[in-house]
Amino acid sequence: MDALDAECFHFLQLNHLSVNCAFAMISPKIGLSLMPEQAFLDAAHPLFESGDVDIIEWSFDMCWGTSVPQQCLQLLNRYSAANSLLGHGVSFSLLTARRTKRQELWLQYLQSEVRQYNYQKISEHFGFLTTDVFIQGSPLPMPFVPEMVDIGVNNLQAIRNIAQVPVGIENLGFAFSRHDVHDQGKFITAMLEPVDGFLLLDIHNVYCNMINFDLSFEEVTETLPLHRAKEMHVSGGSFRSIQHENKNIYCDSHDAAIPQDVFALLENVLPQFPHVETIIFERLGNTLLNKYDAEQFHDDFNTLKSIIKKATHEQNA
Amino acid sequence: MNKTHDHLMDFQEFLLDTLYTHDDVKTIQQKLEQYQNDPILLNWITTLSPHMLEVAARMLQHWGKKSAA
Repeated sequence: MDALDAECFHFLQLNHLSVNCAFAMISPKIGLSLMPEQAFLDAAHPLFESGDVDIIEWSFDMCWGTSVPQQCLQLLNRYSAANSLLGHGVSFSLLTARRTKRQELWLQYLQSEVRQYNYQKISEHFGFLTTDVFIQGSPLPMPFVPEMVDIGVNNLQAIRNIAQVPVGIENLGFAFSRHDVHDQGKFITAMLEPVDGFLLLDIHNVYCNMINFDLSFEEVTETLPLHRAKEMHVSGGSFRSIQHENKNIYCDSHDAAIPQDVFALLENVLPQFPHVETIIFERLGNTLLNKYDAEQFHDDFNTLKSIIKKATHEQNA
Repeated sequence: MNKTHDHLMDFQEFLLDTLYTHDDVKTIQQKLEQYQNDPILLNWITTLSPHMLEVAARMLQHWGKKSAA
């Protein structure tokens, strides 16, 4: 084989590979959002012991300044050493319009955090929750205006500069209106583009918007940068009744079993996301109150695992 | 970044304070619609669903915390 033939052969090999890869789906790793509560650690223990948990996600800022249980620290060290630890911020507040002292402190803590653990990626929620006056809150959307996009991009860049790993944004399960649902996707797209960030697609958050605004999966996600989806979250939630017109609103509260509709939705859409690397199951530690809850937690995890296995198998068959 | 976005920060403080302080949706809407500093933000306010305003108010009243300073 002369040089030209070798080059052609190499090209064909590469081309063949790329054709195969275009249709292949790498089996996503399945993981847990690690919670520090003893009830969670007890419930999750058998899953960790059996080796079923490929990866963990740690909401590091939840425990800054508090004592983390030894069992939790051991898991963090184990998964960090195995390059299987994801970081997830819950309180930075990406869209706070002016950098606050609390955010500066958050970035300092992040610096220590990434020195201590080997995070593969770091994500935060879309929206804002704090200001100078409000030091704690719940993430809320903001109007999609260029100034707000600049603020979000600057904050993402600040996180990336410190962490030196890919950064991502999680879509919210709350929107102020249908219009807001639509704009959230455009907003996240505009924020991720300059930092080449990833989308953490929370399937349950999409489901919340489907229920509350009577929209389809496609309608909720049509403006999101789905090609950037590298991680997924799956969880359960519950309805809250409100006074206005006696309506029930479905909330991303992580306090109940994963609804069957969410499992069905995941099964249906997962083949559309061949680049998703990780699927994380979220359940609040303080909602595992008894043996029944722990069994439900195991069942949900195992159902998720079988859906992922089936989707990967069918896609690659 | 800090100086140029003061009006947005003021708006965020105003939004959170309104949701934190009031329970009744009509009152929340009336208060928010008094915001006259920026037509784009005011226009956004008019699109907000009353149901979701009530949810936001409940969430903020549950999870929200103000600085002691």
